[in-house]
This record gives sequence, C-alpha cells and structure tokens, in this order.
Amino acid sequence: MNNAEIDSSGLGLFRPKEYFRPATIFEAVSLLAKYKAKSRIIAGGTDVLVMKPTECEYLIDITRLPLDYIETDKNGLRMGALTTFRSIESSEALENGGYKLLKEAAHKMGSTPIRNVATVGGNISNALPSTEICPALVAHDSKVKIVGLSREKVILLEEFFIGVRKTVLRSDELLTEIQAPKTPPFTGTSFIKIGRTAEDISMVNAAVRVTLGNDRVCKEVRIVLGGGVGPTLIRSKRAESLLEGERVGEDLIQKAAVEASEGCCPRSVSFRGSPLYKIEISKILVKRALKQALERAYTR
Amino acid sequence: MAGQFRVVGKSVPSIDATEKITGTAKFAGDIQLPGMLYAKILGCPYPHARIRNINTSEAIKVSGVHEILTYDNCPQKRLPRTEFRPILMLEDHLRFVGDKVAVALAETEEIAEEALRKVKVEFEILPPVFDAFEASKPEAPRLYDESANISDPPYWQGKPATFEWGDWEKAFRKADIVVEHTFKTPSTFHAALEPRAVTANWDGKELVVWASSQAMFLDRDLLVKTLDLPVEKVKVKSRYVGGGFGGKFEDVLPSIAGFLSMKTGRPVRLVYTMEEEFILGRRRPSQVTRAKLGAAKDGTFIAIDYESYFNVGAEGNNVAGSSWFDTQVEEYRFPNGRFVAYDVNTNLSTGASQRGVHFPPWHFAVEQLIDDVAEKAGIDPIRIRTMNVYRKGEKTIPIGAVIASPIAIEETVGKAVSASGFWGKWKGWRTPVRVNGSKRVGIGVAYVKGWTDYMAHDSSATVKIRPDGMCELLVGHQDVGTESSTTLTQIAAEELGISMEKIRLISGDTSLVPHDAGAAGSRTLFSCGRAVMNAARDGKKKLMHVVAYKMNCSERDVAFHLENGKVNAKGKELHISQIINEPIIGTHINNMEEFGELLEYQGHSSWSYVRGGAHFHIAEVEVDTETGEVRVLKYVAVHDVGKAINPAIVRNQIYGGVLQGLGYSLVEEVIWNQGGRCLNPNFTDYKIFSFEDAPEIETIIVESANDGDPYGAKGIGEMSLNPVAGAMANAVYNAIGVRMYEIPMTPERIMKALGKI
Amino acid sequence: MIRLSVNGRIQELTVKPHWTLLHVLRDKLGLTGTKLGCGTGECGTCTVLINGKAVHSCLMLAAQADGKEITTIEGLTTDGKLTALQKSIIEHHAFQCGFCTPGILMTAKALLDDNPNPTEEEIKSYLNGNLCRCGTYKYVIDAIKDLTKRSGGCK
Repeated sequence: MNNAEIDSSGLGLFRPKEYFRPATIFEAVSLLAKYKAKSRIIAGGTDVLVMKPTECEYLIDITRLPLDYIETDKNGLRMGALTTFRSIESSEALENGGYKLLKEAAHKMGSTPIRNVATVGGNISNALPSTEICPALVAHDSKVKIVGLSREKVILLEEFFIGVRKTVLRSDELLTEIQAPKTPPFTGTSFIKIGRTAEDISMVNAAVRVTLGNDRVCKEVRIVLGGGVGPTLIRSKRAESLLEGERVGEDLIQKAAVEASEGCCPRSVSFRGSPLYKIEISKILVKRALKQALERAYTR
Repeated sequence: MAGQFRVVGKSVPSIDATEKITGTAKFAGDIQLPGMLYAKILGCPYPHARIRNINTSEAIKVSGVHEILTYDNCPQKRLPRTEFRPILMLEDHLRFVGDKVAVALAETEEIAEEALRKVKVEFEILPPVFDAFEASKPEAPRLYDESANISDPPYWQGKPATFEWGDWEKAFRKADIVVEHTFKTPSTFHAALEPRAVTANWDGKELVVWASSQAMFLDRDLLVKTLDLPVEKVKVKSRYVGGGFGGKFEDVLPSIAGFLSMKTGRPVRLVYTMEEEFILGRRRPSQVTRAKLGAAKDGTFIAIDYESYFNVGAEGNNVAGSSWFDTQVEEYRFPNGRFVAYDVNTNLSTGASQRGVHFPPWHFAVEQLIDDVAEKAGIDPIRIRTMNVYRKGEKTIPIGAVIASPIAIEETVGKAVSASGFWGKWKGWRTPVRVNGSKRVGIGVAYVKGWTDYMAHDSSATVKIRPDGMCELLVGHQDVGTESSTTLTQIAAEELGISMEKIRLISGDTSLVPHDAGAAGSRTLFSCGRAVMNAARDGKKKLMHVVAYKMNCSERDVAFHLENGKVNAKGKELHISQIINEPIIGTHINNMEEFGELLEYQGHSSWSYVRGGAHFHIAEVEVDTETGEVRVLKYVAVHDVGKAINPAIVRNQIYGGVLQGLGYSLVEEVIWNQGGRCLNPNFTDYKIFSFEDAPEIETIIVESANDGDPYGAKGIGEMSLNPVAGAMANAVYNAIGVRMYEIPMTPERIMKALGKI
Repeated sequence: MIRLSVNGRIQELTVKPHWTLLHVLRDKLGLTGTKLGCGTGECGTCTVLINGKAVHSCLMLAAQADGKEITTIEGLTTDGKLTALQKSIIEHHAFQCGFCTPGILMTAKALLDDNPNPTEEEIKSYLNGNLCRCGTYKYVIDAIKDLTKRSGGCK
C-alpha cells in the first residue's frame, strides 16, 4: 500500500488576464516581445480553445492584421499567414497557378466550420505532425517569412520544424507569409491521407510533386510524408534521388516508396496505428501518390 | 393493408418537429432558473484508491463557493439499482480514474472549477486490476469489500452465471462438425451528442429535477430514497433527451444535484463536459468470448458452448453485461448447450447496457461460427440459417416458451437477397465476389430473431376525452430520440378516430403521467403502445356508458365522431360538451398476464410467449489489401417490425442502428493506458461515423403482424444494430479468406490478419 | 466590452477573455438553441453563422465576435415562419432526438448560401463536421437535394 497526495492547486485553468487585438504587425510583435512565453497568439482559435493553455496570461488576437491574401504571379506564390483553409481549398488563383496540391491538402483538414476560421499560419506554427498542408507546402519548396521586432527572415518551411509542437519560431516572433516558387510546367501532384474515418487526424499522409523534363525523364521530385510518421514531417530526399534523372516505371516507384517508408520513425505507442503499420502504409501511399502525380504530369 | 388505418401506418410528421428544428426544445442543460448555482466534479487520478484524508477548508473559502460535497458529508444511503452495484453518492473507495472525489457548488462553473483545485486529498493507493479474467480470480484486488469482483447472481458468491441444458458434452462428442474460436469485442461509448445534464430546484416544498435520462421514474425513486422525501414532493422532468442508447439510466447525478439544491435552497445545475460524459458516463462492456458450435453433417445445430468474460468496470453488474440468456437461446435452435458469463468488476469506468446489450458481440461470434459450420457442411450461408431458426408455434429449447409471433424469415431473407443481389454476387466459400488489383469484394449475412417484450408489464397510459373536443394522452414513456411521442400519439389518434392535431401529448414529467419502465430494450411500441391502445379503448368505452346513460339508449345506438367533437345517440347528433362536463378518463396499466406466464429456468425467467421478428442483414464490402481499409459498398437491412406505426420513424431506427453497428465493426473502441486512464474520451480520438462515412444503406420494412398487440407492432431499436458486426465479419472473410476474431476491424487488424505486418 | 449583432439585434456586454461565444450565447443571452456538445470543435452542435459563415461557437472567443453578425438557430425563422430548408427537414423526417439538428441546419444554410445546387458529394463534404449519433445523414442529404430540385436552387 502506498500513499500519495494530490494537491490540485498546481493544475491550472485557462484564465488569460488580458486580450489584445493589435492592428499592425509591429504592434503584434511588440506585444509578443513584451509578454513572451506568457502570451499566446490566437487567430482561428481552433487550437488554442481546444488546448486551453494554462500558462497563457495574454491573448494576442492577430485577425485584424492585413495577412489574408493569396497572390500568384510569374515569381510564384505569396500567401498571408491569416489565409483560412477555406480560402485555400476554394482558391481559383491556386487552381490556375499550379498549386492544386495545396487545395487538396487544405480540403483534407478538419471540417467546414474549422476550415472557415483556421489559418495556414496557425497550422504551421502549431507544428502538429498530423498537419496536411505542410507536407504539401514542402512539396512546393515553400518558404516562410518570420518577423521579429528588429529583424525579418525567410527560411525553408522544411527547416522550420524541430519536433512535436516545436519550431524555430521564438516567442517574440510572428510568422507572416508563406512563399512558394512558380510551379514548373509538366508538373503533376498528388495528396493522399489515411485516417480512421473521413474526418480524422492523419494517420499517415503523403504529398508528392513530380516535374517531368524532356523525354519524360523525371526532372524534379518531392516526396513528403506527414501524419504519425515521426515528430515532424519527413521529406525523403533519398527516395527523391532514386527518381530524379530517370524515366520512372513501376520498379523505381516501388523502390522509392520503400526508401521513403524506411525513413519514417513513428512513435512506438499510439492508438492510431503501430509503427509497423505506419511504415507499411507510408510505402503504399507514396507508391500511389507517385503514380497519380506522374499520370497528372503526363497529361499537362 | 394500405388504407386499413387512418393514421397508423403513415409517416405522419413528428409532433415535436417545430420544437426540434427551431431549437426551442429544452434539454436538461438548457433549463435556466434565477439564482442558479453550478456544480463541478473532481475526479480521482488513480484507478484504485481510498481517501485517507480530504481537506476542503481552502476550497470552501473561495469567494462564490457554497458547498463542497465529499463522501463524509453526503447522504449515507447505498441503494439498489438494476444495472449497477449499490454505491453511495460519493464514496471514499474510488474505483477508476476519474471516479468522483468531491463536488463543488458555486455561483459559476468557473468558480467551482477554481475551488476544486484547492481541495487537498491524501490517498491510499490500492493495487488495480483492469482485465476481466484477472479480476475474476479470487486473489485479485477487490473493488467491493463485501464480495469478490464477479457480479453475477446469486450475488457475490464469486461464481459466474451459468445456463446449461441437454447434454452438451456428449452432443459435441457426437457432432460431425465442431468449430471453436475466441472472439474479442471492445468497449464502445454510447456517444450521444448530449452530455448528460441535471438541473434541480428545491423551493422548500417540492424538488423538481430536469434530467437527461431514459427512465425518469427510476430517477425519481432513487431521489425519494436518497433524500428521504415523500413521492409527492419529487418531480422528475425529462421531455427532450439528446440520445441515450442505454447510457442514461440510474445515474447518481440527479441525487447529487437534488441534495445540493435542498442544502442551499437554490437551483443547481450539473452538466458533464463531453470528456466527463465519456469517463464518468457509461460504456458497453468489453468481452472475451470462447465459443463453440457443434452441428450434424447436414448443418443442423446440435450444441453451443459460449463462455464470456464481461468487463463491467467499476459499478456494473450482470444486467449491464450478460443477463439475457433466455433470449439468446431463442435466436437459433440449440438442442444442447451451455452459457457461462463472468460479469467482472474492474478498475475501469462503469459498463452499462448499450443498444443491443450483449447481442452485438454475440452475433459477431455466432454468425461467424455458423458460417464456419456452413462452409464445412458445404451449405450456403442463407440455408444454414433458414434451416436452424425457430418459427411461429415452435417451443424454444430449453425453456419451452412458445414463439407467438410470426417469424417471417422467408420474406425477410427474400427481400434482403433481392435488394443486395446476393445470388449474383456470392461465388461460394473462400471466393470473393470480385478482385480488382489490391481490392477484394466480399459479401456476408447475419440473422437476428428480435425481441420486444423487455419489461413489457411496466407501462401504463391515460387518455382523456375532453368536453371541448380535444383529447389528451398521458404516457410515462420517454422519447429519447425514438420519436415515441409521435408514434404513441398516432396509436391514440387511430383508436379514438381523430386526427393528430386533436390530441395533446403530455409526457416527460413524473408528477403528471402514469408509470413506465422507460426507454429501453426495444420495448416502446409493444409495451407502451399497447397501454396507449387499451387506454384509448377504455376511454371510449366509458364515454359510451355515459352517453348511453344520459341519452337513455342502448350502447348499440351510440356512435362517435370525435374529430368533430360529436357523438351520435339514437340518431341524434350532439356535441360532446352537451354530454360531459369533465373529461372522460381512460386508463390502462399493463399487467403480466397480458404477456403470458413467467417461466423459470435455472434462475432465468422468460415470458411463456416469445415475441420477435426476423431481421436479416447483408453486407457487401471492399477490402483494400494494401492498406487494410474496409469500405462498405452496399448494406441491406431488412426488418420484420410487425406493423410500422410510422414507416419513416422505423426507417430512422434501422438506419441509425446500422450506422452504430458499422462504427462498432470498423472504428469504435475505447482505449486505456496501462494505468487505467482512458486515452480517447473525446470525438477527436474516438471516432463515430460522419456524413462522409455513411455508406449506401438500404432499409426495408417487412410487416408480419403479431396477433393483437398494438396493430402487431414489434420492436426495432436494437435489432438494427445486433447483426451488423456479424454480417460485416462474414463479408470481410468472403473478401480476404481470413477470419477476423476481433473488432473493430481496423486497417491495422486487417493487415495483421493478411500477414502484411 | 464587445458589441455584436445577434439575430439582427445589437448586444453589448462585458466578457472575460477566456469566454467562448457559445458560453455568451447560451448563458448570457439565453439562446439555448445552440448546443454545448463536445466543446472541442468535433461534433458541430454549437454551429452558428458568423457573417454568414458556419463556425463552431465553442472554438471562438466571445471577444473575437466583436463587430460581427451572428446568426443562431433562433434567427433562422422570422415571425415564426419556418424556412423551406426547415420544412424539407421535417418532411423528410431528417431528425430524431433533435440535439444535433440546430447545428446541422446552420451548416446546411451556409452551404445553400454558398452553393445553391450542391451535389450529393458536396453536401456530404460540407456537412461532415456535424455529427449525428441517432443516424439521420441520408435523410438530411435527401432533404437538401429535394429542396434544391424543387426550388431550382433557392433556399
């Protein structure tokens, strides 16, 4: 028999002291710099109000900032951090600009009411491994702009993530924009997600982009796995290198899929699927996504 | 049959339609009263512990706090309940993670939450046990001081419930075919969208409690006994309930709220969060079952042996788990057999009956054993069933009850087979319907002989025929989403010869209506419907007497046109107000004799007449053998309901039950960690079927009426869920050639079965 | 202090930072037609329209609703007249216990405002965030399809 005490006073509640609604990026970043780890940014609210972080004393609502836009031109894509998933999934600019992959991935997140308010910047900053849009953005070689009080930088999205809910973003920085280069011609993409039901957190997802060169040789490939395959999304450069420069057939697809799946490191315990299962499924999803991306590239 | 009735048999609109689709229907958590206080519950972090010391002195000082309730300042009454072991409102012996340690009552929910954080508790941690088999051993840690963990009658002797007949050991030895497997079925949440809520108001004279409950009279009786109040001073109201599915019975919440309201003289609201609903609410007991079926070489069943461990959690007893052996033996003809059930308490949340009770797991096992026998006998899955089921007039083995209902199996099977295209698809055992690359399509069936007479004797109704020409129907029965409000009103309207608009339904208030056992066991129309029917007839008879007396004529010369409020006596037409000044009151209280005798067999009782119908499902599935995903291509559910009082409502019950059954078969599973903490008490991690998940489900109604009874109506609520896991497992076997002995058949389990991982 | 329009009426109230819009609607404004189900944005029983878009009110801070137009189930009917959508749901018997119904109606209204002629796939996808445990999906879809067929796409 052993004894234990519980003193619940340590278990906090979600009781922020103050709520701010800055009108400019400078105001927002100043607040972050002032309150740092005691503050939380809120935009769509679909993460904050589920997590109800008890250490949050100051809520910074950034929805007034002018960061809701999707622009495509000859240089590529610029998307504001406050762009909602609904805007992304229904965007004609993305459809016509060669970014269908982003629309497909956005559609697979949550449900209509969630997508109406959830923002791409929030999704990226939360850095949950289950994110759908991030593998798709990485497949398009996306970068993110990060703004602090005295500096601004642009980094590759695939270098943004460190671990589960851990990013390079400091507590006084704000992610403001997502950028992607122009999609080359003869590009096909595919996004596949597996969950337990139609609306579910990704067990495994795969975002693939294939760009063909002359003679149907594979010029560029991006293979990105997400979901429960590891603490962050996984871009399989080794799998990609098997295909780049080659005319891709069934054999190579299978080899690349195996290579990609072997790069996964799922958690040992998860009720969403054992590591063995996730590795097997990664292989299948990459295979299917590659096939579909290639087909689409051929028809362009 | 069409045109025979005016109102019954028609899909008339729901009488609650306006309230439900305008959002004006008030559920228990919508009641707002001035001066209301709010209660919140502190849960235990350990799976098994005793409180050594609980210090609420800091908590009670928090501004806005009125009461902190603990085991030593709550009523010390341990009351018997049907499905659960008797416990105090709050105990010092805590039996699962989340079990109630204390309740705080404050001006707002937020203050109550803050107060609970200042409660200091010293626990003595006790060794827990989570597995039913382990918990059934005599040396296992005990959840109840007075007995071992096996909660089967004769209570607390530490023995399982058993039921044996014939000479099953000999029968198995002689059988040509014997198949045996071990099956595992999960716990599932009832997952009603409304988390349970209670609002209680003691005004010094009477206690009124609004509760989301399936049996308000049971709640009232518990309140009366717990709080020592006379019956007339306790009213329980439960008019609109956001789904129950078996999970909202006999909770201690109304007593907690009632007690706090009496203590403070203020109204009290207690609403669970959805997480609390999952953890502190109920769940279907999980089972591990070893089952064996023996047959002759022509496929005739000879013996069954079914031994199951039910994990009924902290408070469940055998009613939550296994008790229904008498109905199990009616499903197919088993000349010899044995049922053994261990309903075992463990340090997990409380198990309770969930739609179908233990029949969904029973069918998951039995329908597969039957297919296994059929395969070995070289018979198709339809024939093996039609040759082994009871039909009307037969006496069941071993109880000797007479099948009093027509069991329209030929018609039901015929329609199922036709709607599904079964014969065009079935290619034989171990041969899928078709193969497309990695995708394999299979088809499977399951049969259920339904029931309908659970607690049939405990229903009553009152019908009032008023002088102003309107009628009233008072029923103790509750509509938890079954839309019994509408169907029972239809029966009354039919009997009285009036339209629906002429009847006012009064229900959902124990102080206004006669007694009823509540919404359970697919009993609504058969039990309460007959009470309504007979009450209406009683009312008409009494009105007839009065008219004949007042008009000085024979009853033969009296006719009613109650739609217009008119009566016709000896050729003279009068308005009913010219005959009566007060309402005529027709009543009926069901009594046991209406249903036959009670036959006893080894401590289990059964009506001497068995009522049920034939229910047949055919599932067509596609299994992706690369991912393990199972997709339902088409699902056909055919149900003999005797008489569809309201076909649209029957259709809803079939569709809803199939959906829950599909969730049970494919995705739903409560998961705990090694320390007994539930890992998925929310809809993010416990998935139920959504709009996009729902496949094509064809619902077909067959009507082979019971004699008498309300127009021959038979139960449906649970029958649509019971066969699903069986049909799905058989379909998956047909697709991939490997049997699934565990549900849900998640992609991972399928892949393991295929040897891919 | 926030100022919002709820079903056409301006409401001014002081709110705490952590209060959700759902809490304000139900417990401060007495509009209990919108339900508290899961409270975590999965079940959809709390769905309201914010400037015409379907939103889970349990996942929105009351403070964030400042300056917005909120429509709840109570605001669907004017002068007690049911909308064509509500009538179609009744005709198709597309409800059982009624707890999920207000949420489904709000999302369905947003769907029809966005897309007056949705296909079955579009209906399922749009409404996928509204759960129903009693089982009404097929009949809600039929009610919406029937409505668009009859009225040629108007709501």
